Amino acid sequence: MKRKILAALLSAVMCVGLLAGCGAENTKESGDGKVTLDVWDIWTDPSSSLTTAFEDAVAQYEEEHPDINIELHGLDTDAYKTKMSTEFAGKAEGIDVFYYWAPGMIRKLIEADKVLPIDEYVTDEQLDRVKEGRTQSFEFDGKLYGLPIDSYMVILFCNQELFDQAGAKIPTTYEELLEAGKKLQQLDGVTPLALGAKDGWLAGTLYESLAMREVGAEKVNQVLLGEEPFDDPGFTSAAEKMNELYENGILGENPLEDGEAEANAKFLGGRAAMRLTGSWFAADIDSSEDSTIADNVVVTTFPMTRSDGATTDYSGGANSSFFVNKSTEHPKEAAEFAAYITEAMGSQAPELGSGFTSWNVDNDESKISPTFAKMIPLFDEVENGVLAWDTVLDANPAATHQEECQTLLADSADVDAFIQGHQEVIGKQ
Amino acid sequence: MQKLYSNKKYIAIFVMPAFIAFLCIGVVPLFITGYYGLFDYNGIGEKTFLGLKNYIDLFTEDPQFIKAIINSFILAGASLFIQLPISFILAVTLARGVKGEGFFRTIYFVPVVISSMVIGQLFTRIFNSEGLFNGLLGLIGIHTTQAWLADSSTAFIATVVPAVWQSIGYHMLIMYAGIKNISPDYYEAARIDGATGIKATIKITLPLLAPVIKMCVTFALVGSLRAFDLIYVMTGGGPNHASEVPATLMYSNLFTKGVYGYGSAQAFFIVFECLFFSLIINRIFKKAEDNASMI
Repeated sequence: MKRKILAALLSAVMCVGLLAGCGAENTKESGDGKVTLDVWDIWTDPSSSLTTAFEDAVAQYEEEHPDINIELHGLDTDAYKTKMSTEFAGKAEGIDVFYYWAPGMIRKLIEADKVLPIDEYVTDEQLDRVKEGRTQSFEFDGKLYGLPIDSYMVILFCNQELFDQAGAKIPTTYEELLEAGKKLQQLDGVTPLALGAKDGWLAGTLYESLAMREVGAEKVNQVLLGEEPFDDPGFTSAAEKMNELYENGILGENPLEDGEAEANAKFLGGRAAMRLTGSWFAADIDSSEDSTIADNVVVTTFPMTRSDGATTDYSGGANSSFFVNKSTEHPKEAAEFAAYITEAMGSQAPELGSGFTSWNVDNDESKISPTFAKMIPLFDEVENGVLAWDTVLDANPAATHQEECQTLLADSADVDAFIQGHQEVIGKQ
Repeated sequence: MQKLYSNKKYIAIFVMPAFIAFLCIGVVPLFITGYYGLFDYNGIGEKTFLGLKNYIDLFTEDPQFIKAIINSFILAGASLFIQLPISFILAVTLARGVKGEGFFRTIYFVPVVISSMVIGQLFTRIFNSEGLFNGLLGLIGIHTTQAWLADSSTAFIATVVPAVWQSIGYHMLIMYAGIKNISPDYYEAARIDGATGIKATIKITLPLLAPVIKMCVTFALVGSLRAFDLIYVMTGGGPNHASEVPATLMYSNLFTKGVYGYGSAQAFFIVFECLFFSLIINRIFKKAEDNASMI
């Protein structure tokens, strides 16, 4: 009998233990009354100056606010996006402040009422320090959800030494790009333009640059926002040009084989003459140990495809920031921290080489890296930007767009199918 | 104590904790997934009820999914007809007691221990246009810069190779243990009757190994139908969906495209498909197993 009771008791204990495990609560306030904020970010590479700058800024905040404890959670970009979508499908309990992309991706969260508007927490004084017009990507229905960190710009990085060897000239028009590419191809073991198109967004970058030139930035933005149909003939000719670049071997023999990392390595190792990517790549050029070419890099905007196109159009803009989870337990502290870290990262952006600042600050020019300094005049000249399409569009059209762009980089490319695939998901239906 | 074990009430109580855990983390999420498959749902926000539309669309509206299923069957075929026979031959050879049995057993098992991510990266390099494979081809006079993983006609096959290679050791070990379990008496008796070598393998080892082979076939088949990691690492389903399998499509629908409802329908289908084939295999092997247990 005793045994029976014991057995029953033991199993009861097991069951209770199990249930207790299920319902364990996630209490935030630690004993000493400190507020802990869970902050999610994408800076994980310990050797990157961005990571150091971010961690320094956080440490400084903790010093200034002894009652606040910041818990950092970093993931690589792709894993981070997945993590955020799964977390926000649920309650996202372990997230107070998070880095995210505007206006496309954050819109979905805002529509689902997951993001806290920060109007009441941001001081006018701080708002005055933001450069004019730069909060546009973060305003929805008249409410402000975040402050801009910095702007980026798609840049064509060229290795002057390789251009000289091939007798080619830095392209300013599409024809010159083709011509330079053909000459560069003659160099042994050199890819004229390393795209990294195994990563869909980089295939997208090339098409988006071509479309921006063919169609014009303003029109492209209207199409992406669903105000105009995706039917401009420029979209077709952009696709044809992208395929033409592939067919002529300008993008290397197998552009879909390499992702971003390989393409970057090729350019940094002097095995690729051109690299089309965001301005953030300047930091890699100047700081990477592999880099043997920093002095030879010439930066330029994407070549013009039409003589009547606007040279002030560009691919880029302000597109990411820190946002506050609406279900956070500490909205005030979280919003204040988000505003702080946004400004901290934004105002030193040029020095870090991460982007063109959205804040009215005087940067110490001696701290700005040489390659980044070369890009600043380019950014000063441009006006109308088109953000990376995947940051403007919803997730499904964005993924479809990138997959379609990759299809242009194969012998089986079908431009009509490409346009049709886009029309089904993008633009005024 | 004996009395305690035979009392149904106590059996129920003892099983309860594990059962609840299994229910919570196994069965319930499965049905929730199936339920989400009935909706148009982006993972966040409103759900719109669609009925069975997602499940019907899988087969009528989605050529990519059909292609993915075909790919998974090719992988399953390669596992069953290439991987398992190799495992069997290796197991028989080792069990017979070759010199360095333990050494070879360990060597063949090494790929099983290595993470799929690592193997994926390894073979991504091997099949690179400037990789080891093209280098080897060059040695025998075939000079090519074929990018095996970036060409839609070869990408999938190139992912099948490591998938098959990786699990050979795993199945070999299971079969090896099974063979070692067969009493030597049978072989002695067979030798007296004049059956040795291959004949003994076919007439004694194979039938007696039926339960073990059934297990291997189930693992290989189900593993192929829900294959994900290697293909995700090596090609991500590309280029242009050429190497897509159901699980990679499901992943991109759920986590990249945010088509949560449709992705859930795909997930539920994969589970259903795996269960279905496990049942079929059980049926097929029933007779062979009965024979094995009769001996």
